[in-house]
Amino acid sequence: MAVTLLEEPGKLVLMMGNEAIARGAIEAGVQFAAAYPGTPSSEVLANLSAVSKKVGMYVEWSTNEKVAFEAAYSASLAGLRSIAIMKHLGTHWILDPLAVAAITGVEGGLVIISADDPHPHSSQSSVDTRYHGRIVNIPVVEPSDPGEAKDLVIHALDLSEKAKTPVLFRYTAAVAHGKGPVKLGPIRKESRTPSFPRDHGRLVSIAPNARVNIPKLFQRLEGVRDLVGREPFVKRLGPSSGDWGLITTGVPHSYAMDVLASEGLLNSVPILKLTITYPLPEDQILGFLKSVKKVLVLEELEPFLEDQIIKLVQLHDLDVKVYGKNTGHLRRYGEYSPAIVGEVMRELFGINYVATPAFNLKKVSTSVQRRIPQMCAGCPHRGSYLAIKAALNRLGTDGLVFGDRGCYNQGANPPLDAIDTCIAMGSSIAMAAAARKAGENRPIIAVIGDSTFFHGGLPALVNAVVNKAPIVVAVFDNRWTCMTGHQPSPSSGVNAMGDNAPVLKPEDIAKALQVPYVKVVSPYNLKQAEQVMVEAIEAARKNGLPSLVVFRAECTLQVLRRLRKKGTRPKPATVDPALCTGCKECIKTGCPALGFDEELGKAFIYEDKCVGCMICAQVCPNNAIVRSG
Amino acid sequence: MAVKEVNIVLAGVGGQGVVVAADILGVAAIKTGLNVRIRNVHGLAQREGSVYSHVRIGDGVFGPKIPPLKAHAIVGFELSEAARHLHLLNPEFGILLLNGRLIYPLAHYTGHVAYPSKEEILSKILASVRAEAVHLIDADALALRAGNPRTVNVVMLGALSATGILPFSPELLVEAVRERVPKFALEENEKAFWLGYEEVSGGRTREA
Repeated sequence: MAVTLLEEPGKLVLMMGNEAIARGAIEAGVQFAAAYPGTPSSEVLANLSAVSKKVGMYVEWSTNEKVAFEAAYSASLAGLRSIAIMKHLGTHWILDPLAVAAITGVEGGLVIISADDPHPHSSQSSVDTRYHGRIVNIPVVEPSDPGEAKDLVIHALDLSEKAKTPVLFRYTAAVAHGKGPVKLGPIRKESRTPSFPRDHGRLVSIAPNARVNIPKLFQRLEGVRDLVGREPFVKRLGPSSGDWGLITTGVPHSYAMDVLASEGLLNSVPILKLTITYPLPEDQILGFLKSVKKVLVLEELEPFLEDQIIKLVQLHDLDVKVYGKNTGHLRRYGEYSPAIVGEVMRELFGINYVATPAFNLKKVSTSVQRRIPQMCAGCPHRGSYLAIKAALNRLGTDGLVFGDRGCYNQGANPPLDAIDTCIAMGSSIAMAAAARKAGENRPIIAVIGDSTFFHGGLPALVNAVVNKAPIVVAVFDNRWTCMTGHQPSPSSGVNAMGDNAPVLKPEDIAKALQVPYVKVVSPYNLKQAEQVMVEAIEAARKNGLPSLVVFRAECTLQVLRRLRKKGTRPKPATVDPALCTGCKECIKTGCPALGFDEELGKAFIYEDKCVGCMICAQVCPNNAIVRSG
Repeated sequence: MAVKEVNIVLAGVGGQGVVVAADILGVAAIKTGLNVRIRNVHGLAQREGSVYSHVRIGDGVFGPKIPPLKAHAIVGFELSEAARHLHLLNPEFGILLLNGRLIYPLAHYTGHVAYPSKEEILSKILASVRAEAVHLIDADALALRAGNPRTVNVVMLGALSATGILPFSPELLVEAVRERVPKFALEENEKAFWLGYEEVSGGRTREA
C-alpha cells in the first residue's frame, strides 16, 4: 500500500497513478469496489484492500472482470457509490452486462476503471477500450497524469450519479504506473444504507422492457452533454486564436506540453484539453475549431476523438484542417512519446523540436539484446514443465501444449520452450479440447494457473467433459495470482477484506465434473510428476475424456517472503566441480540462479539467488548438485 | 527555487532497487517543493527482466518520459542496462554513473542470446561519451561495505548526489532515503549513501 494513501487533506504527496485512483475513490465516498487483477490496473484495488476496513469500504477480488462489474453494478443499483477495476482485456469481458446497465441506468455513481496498455508492456493485445463506452453509449473520461486521475475519479462518480449512467474511466499504462505530485482532498464520509430497488419494468430487461428503456439511454446521454461543457471536462489553454492549435486528451497532452515547453512555446499555442471524449462538449469544441486554421488531435491508440471531430467539422462546414491518424501523421498503435509528438509538430507546424539521438549512442543502445524473462529461481512451474516435457519425451512425442495467461507464460521462452500457445484467459482448455475434436492426434495438454482456471477455465473444462475431449488439463496451482503481484485467488484461503475464506481446489471441481483421472502432484518431485503425467495422457486416451493433474506448490516468492519475516532463508544448492562434466543439463531448466563458466567448462550456482528447490539436482546426470552447508 | 528541468534515467535488473531509488528522488523533489514525474517500467522485474525509471524534476516537466538527448544523467545499476538507455543521454552535458557490474541473463549461458563481456561493453560505452562524463564505481562492493548487499540503489543515489546535478542537498536526499527504505535497514542505507557520495566527490567531506 502507498504510505500516503490516507494522509491528511491539503497535503501534496508522491503517488502512482493507481494509488491516486484509489485515493480518489476514497475521497469520493465509494463504498463498494470490485476488481480482477491485471497489469497495469492491479494496484488500485490492492491499495483499497489494505485500508478497506479503516475507510468502511467493501472490496473484493472477483473471480473475473465480468463478475466484478456485475458486483459493482448491483451495489450501485442499491444506492452505493461503486467502482469496478480491470485492465483492458477484462473490459472486453463486461460488454454484455455493461450494455444492459447503460439501458437501465444506475443509482449510486458507477465507474468502470479500465486500464489500457497501448505498448503493450504486459498484454496479448492492445485494443482501445474507449470504444466499449461508445458501443454501449455511456460517457468516457480519461486523465493525463496521476494528479488529474485522482480528481477525475471523483468527477466521474459525480457525473454518473447526476446523469444516472455508468461512466467508463479509461487510462493508460503511463498514467497507471507513472508517479507525480497529488494534492489530497477531503474524504467524503458516505454511509448510505443500501436498498436494492424492485423495478421490474427496468431491471427485468427482457426484450419488451428493453424496447421501452432503450430511448431513455439516449436521453441520459444528452443530459451528460449538458454537464460536461466545463472544467474539468474541457479546458482551454494558451491564446484565444492562432494559425494552428492542438486538441489533446490523456497522456499525449503531457507530451505536447513537454515539446512546447522545450521550444519556449508554452503559452503561445491554443490548446483544447479534454478529459471527456464521449459524448463531446460540442459547443466548446466548435468554438475552438473556429479559432484555428489547422488542428492536430493527440490521443493514444485509435482516432476515437479525432473521428468525432472530423464529423463535427463536416456537419458544421468549418474551414479547419484536422490532422492526426486519419492524415497518416500519427499511428494507431503503441505508446506515444514527446519525440513522436514533437516530430509531427515539426513537420506540420514548423517548430524546431529535435529528439534524434546521436548515432554513436543509438548504436550502443541497440546493440544490447533483450533480457529474456525467466520464471523465478525456485518457481514450482519449472518442475511442472520439466515433468510434462519428460512425460511427452517418454511417450516418444513432442505433443501439443496449450498455454494460458500467467507467470507460466515464461515457459514459452528459451531454454524451456515448453508451450505452443498463449492467447486469452482460459483459452488453453477450450483450444486444447477443440484441437483434439478437430482431429489432432498428438497428446494434447492444456496448462493453466489456479487463478486463470477459476477466471475463465471452468466453462471450458465443462465443455471438454461433455464433448468428450481426451486431453490433459494441467493446473499449475501456486495458490495466488502471482503475475500481477500475488493477489488472493480462490485457492488462497483469504479474500480482499483480509478475511479467511474457503480454499477451493481444482481437483474437487474436476471430480464433481466426473473427470475420471484426477491426481495431485508436487512439481518439486520430477520423477513422480513425470509418471503422473504419463498416466494422465494414457488415461485420457483410454477414457475418451479429459484427465486433470494439479501441480501444487505455493509460489516461491510468497514462501520466501514469510521466511524473510522470520529472518531465515532456505539453504542454496551448490555445484561440485569435481563431479560436473559441463553437460549443461542444469541450465537447460531455465533457472536464473544457474550460470556457466566457459573457461572452466563447469556450471555454477549464484548462492544469493538460489533458494534450494533442488530441481536442477534432479536433472543432473552426474549428481554434481547438492545442498550446501 | 526555480528549476526548469532535470532528467534522470535509472536502469537495472529486477531486485536491484531501481523503482525504490526513483521513489526516493521523487520524495526529495516534493520535499523541496519541486514538480516531479516518474515513469517506471518493471513488468517482469521479478522474472529477471530489465527495469528502468525515468525521473523528471522541474517546472518545465509535464510528461513522464525522457526524450532522446534530454537526460542529464543515466544511472546504470548494471552495465548492459545502462548501455540500453544511452541514446537518451545528452552528449554535451549528460553524466553517466556506472556500477561496474554485468549481470548475464540465463539465456546467455544457454546460448540463446549473446551478451558482450564486461570489458567489451564498458569500452563500447566509454568510446561513445565524453571521458569526463563517466563515473565508474563498484556499487556492489560499497553496498557490502555498508553492511547490506541490497543497498546498491542507495549507493548509486549517493553517487548521483555528489555529481551536483540534483536540485536538492545530499542531506535532504538522505531524509527521503529514510522515508522509503525498511526501518530495520536505516543504518546500512545511510552508510551506503555516503559511501557512494564520497566515491564520486573524491573523498571530500560532504557539504553542510
